Amino acid sequence: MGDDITRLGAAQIAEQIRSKKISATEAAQAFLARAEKIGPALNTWITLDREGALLGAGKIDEAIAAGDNLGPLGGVPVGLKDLIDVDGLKTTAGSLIYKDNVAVRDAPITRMIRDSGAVILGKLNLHEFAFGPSGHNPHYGDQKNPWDPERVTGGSSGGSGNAVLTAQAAITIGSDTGGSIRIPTSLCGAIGHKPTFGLVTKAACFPLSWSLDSFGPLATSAEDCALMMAAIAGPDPEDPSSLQVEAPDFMGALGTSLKGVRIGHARNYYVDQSEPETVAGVEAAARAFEEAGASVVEVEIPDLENAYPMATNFMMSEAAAIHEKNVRERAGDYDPKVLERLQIGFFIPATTYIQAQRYRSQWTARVLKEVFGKVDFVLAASTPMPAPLRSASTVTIGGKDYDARAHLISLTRHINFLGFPSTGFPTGFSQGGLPLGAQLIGPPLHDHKTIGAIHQLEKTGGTSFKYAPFEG
Amino acid sequence: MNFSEEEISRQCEALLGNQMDPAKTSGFAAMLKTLDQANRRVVDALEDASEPMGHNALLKGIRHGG
Repeated sequence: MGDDITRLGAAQIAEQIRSKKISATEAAQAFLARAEKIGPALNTWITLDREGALLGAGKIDEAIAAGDNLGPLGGVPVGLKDLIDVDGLKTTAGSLIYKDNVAVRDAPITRMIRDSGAVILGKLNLHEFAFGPSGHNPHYGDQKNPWDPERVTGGSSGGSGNAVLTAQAAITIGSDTGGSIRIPTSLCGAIGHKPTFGLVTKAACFPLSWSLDSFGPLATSAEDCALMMAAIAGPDPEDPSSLQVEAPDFMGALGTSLKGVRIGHARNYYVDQSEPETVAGVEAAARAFEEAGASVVEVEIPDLENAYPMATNFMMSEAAAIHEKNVRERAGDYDPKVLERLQIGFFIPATTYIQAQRYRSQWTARVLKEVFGKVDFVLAASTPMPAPLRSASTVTIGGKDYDARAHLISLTRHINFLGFPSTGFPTGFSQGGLPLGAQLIGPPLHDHKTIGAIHQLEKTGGTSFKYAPFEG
Repeated sequence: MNFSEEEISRQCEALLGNQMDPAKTSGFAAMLKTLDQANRRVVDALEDASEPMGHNALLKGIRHGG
């Protein structure tokens, strides 16, 4: 029975709990058992909170017995990336520096998740301080890909990725500053959503870049992403970046047909630097969109050669500012590779940071006009290749060598710089049996529509989720 | 923003209390040069009307439909 529950999607779990076919406690116990069995082999969790999860599930069961209305995620077991404060649990940010940092209250996003009825299982492992796209972590263990543990999950939300693929949590929350939701979504084979910047609160979540961080779900379906987004989207007075708009109708948008929708296939964004299998996966997705009623045309995203390094100037500057005190006082406690990247920001002049901000405004306006003036969504790969080996320092694509870590992030960072929403989804498997992924990018505040479009693609079989067979 | 390898070593020592691994300094300098070159290209193309808070204003001015 335990494994049966863990193979249900979040929407199904919530429905079965509402209709009393299963209890929230049974669901929590089933997922906890999986997490305890599978998690250590994949370095999924930093804190697994059995006691807190069962307490939360018990309250849901009491509410059902009392005839109370549950929230839409009533009894659904979820995991949170360990950047997010949960009252009474440690927020380590995947670091040694904060290994004993116990939160004294829930972050607003945690509160929203609890208010929706979800049961929090614990805190998920990540690349230290979310500052890396692979999921390496010398302090809590490298997050391992469930399709091949010798390979990376992608990061920084690596635990959030491998937890979903091995049914250790029904939905997880990750963060995405340069691709940290979409990269593990692609390399592990999940459905994941990076929200419009400011649509989801990031208050009381450890920052990597105040102007780029977004928190969002990884799940087994677009419907589950919509359920979670409906719970966490909307204004928050505690987050200065929060957009003052009500959450869009995520569940309603699931029913929107793809007929008449215009999708721009942005080959110039990814083809040259991507593996042929990755390109073939995106092309298959484009055909599936067409078969589902959308029209697909070629689009070009302008000025990519400047956008990426300017986004890097911007992100590195903010990360260095966030870490300045710790870098000066506790440099030896950082992963040396994370410290190396952090140091770059200290060499970027203030004028360059400001020019990057100005460029961000100008480039975003240009992309809105030149690209989203013609199409509703943009389709591209999420990562240029399937998961590389954890030991790989370089990857070779089309006879050209790339730094393995830097290349993982080459198709995602731009979208954070734009601040636009992007939903990652599976496009099949490589010949070696590794997941391939694409992303559907929308204009700001069209989060419900990118998720809805992927839901439509799921309905026609144009994309499908498959659990990893890893059993420890 | 063009830093010599000696300057990078000196500044890292000031920041961290020890010198950067000399084997890594050249890669570090190359990355800074790439970032600087992008900045120079962009500065030439920035419009006077582009302000640092423009992106924030743009996002806050958009409303979702449906």
